[in-house]
Amino acid sequence: MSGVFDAELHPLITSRAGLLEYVSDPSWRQRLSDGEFALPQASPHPGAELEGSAVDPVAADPVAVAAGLGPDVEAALLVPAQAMATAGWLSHTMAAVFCAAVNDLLIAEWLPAEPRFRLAIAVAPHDGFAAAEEIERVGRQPGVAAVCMPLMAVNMGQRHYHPIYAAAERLGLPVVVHPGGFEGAVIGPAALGGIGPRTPEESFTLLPQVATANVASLIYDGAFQQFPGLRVVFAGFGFSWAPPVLWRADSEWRGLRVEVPWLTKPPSEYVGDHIRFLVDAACELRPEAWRVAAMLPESSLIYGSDLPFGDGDAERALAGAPAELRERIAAGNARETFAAPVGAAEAGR
Amino acid sequence: MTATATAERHCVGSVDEFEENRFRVFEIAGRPIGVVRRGEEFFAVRNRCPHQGAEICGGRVSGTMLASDPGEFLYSDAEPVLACPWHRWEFRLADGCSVGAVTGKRLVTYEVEVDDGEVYVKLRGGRTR
Repeated sequence: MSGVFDAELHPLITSRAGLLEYVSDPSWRQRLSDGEFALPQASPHPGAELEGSAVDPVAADPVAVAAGLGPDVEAALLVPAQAMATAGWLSHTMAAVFCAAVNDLLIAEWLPAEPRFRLAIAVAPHDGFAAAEEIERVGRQPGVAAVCMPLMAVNMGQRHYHPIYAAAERLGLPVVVHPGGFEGAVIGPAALGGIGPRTPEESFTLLPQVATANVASLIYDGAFQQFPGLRVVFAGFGFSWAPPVLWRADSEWRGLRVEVPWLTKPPSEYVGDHIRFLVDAACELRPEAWRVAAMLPESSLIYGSDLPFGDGDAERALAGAPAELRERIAAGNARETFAAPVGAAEAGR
Repeated sequence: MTATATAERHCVGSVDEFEENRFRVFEIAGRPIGVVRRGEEFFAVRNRCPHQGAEICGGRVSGTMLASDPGEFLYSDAEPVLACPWHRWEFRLADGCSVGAVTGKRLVTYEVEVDDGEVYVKLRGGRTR
């Protein structure tokens, strides 16, 4: 397959001491060094503490990961999954400090290792203003192509996130949202309909609820009117649930337009313009899923390998995709989504 | 109710017989047509929603919300609308167009004249589809 844009490659950080070198505030470095701070697991989810480390340590070596990229891969977006676990942390400041250290480590050690690497800088969503400051701090670094964050128990259309959207829009960076592993916990991250999943299977099964609630919130709260340059990527939530949600959203809008008069076109059109869903190669492989894919706007889907949890073989993963969508999913949609030059939005004002 | 026909228009009663914002439905030339008064203005529409055929004249007559900034509401009486009782789709009384373009379908409207205290529905000329 020629031309693959991998929009979800998870870099792994395994050295606590190595990370703490990038904690710029000496007092916080001391706090994290003295205490029992432990790096989040590579793939946090309920029950993960019983599974040990199933991740190949190679995933922590940027040179080895780069060497493993197929020749067809034109770009790979680094999405630091460990930073997504901060949604379950109660210390807002510690979450922000950790994300900043992760960003600095990845900028210093990963981006120089491979010109095809792009970075989704991590922000902690607890404090929108602090997150916006982090976007301003590192968002203009060469190779930075997106912002990534987990979700709180505040839906994405609400003002809580506006400082993040404003900063992302200003720098021309899409916002990638990714599960943090603790969705459904009573305190902290975004709520599921069934509170308290006890197994990873139950958690993964229910994750589309989080995405559904947040797609609806982004639309109905008018986030895309307030931030017309905002692009949001749902990574790790699947996509097969999306068409019926959009059908229902459009149907409800027709009758309830007076409740959301700021919407001036069907909700599905806002989704087509602003929201992307990641085709996670590790889990969206059933032939039926591709029939569902054809029901979404053609701009909607982008490919992600989910390395190191998948095998990175885009050709095999996308073999069943509709022929007319395959190139768009493999690379075209991601190029458009992530390639907006940094600062483009600023230049246009 | 049966309208009284003249050569070009159909009388549906005197102005005083119409309550504000409340449709009266007539059979005019075999068609079910609702007539409503709003202040000094009268409107006539076919009593059939273009969506799924509901008797739309049983719906709400009011102003509506204009396109606004997120979280704000901007109510306007300038272009009165009729909301279908089944699905709440709104159509402008003046031209039958869907408010907010939630559908491309239009409500059939008719021209209304008031002459010497009498209300007339015209089936030709002012009719739209």
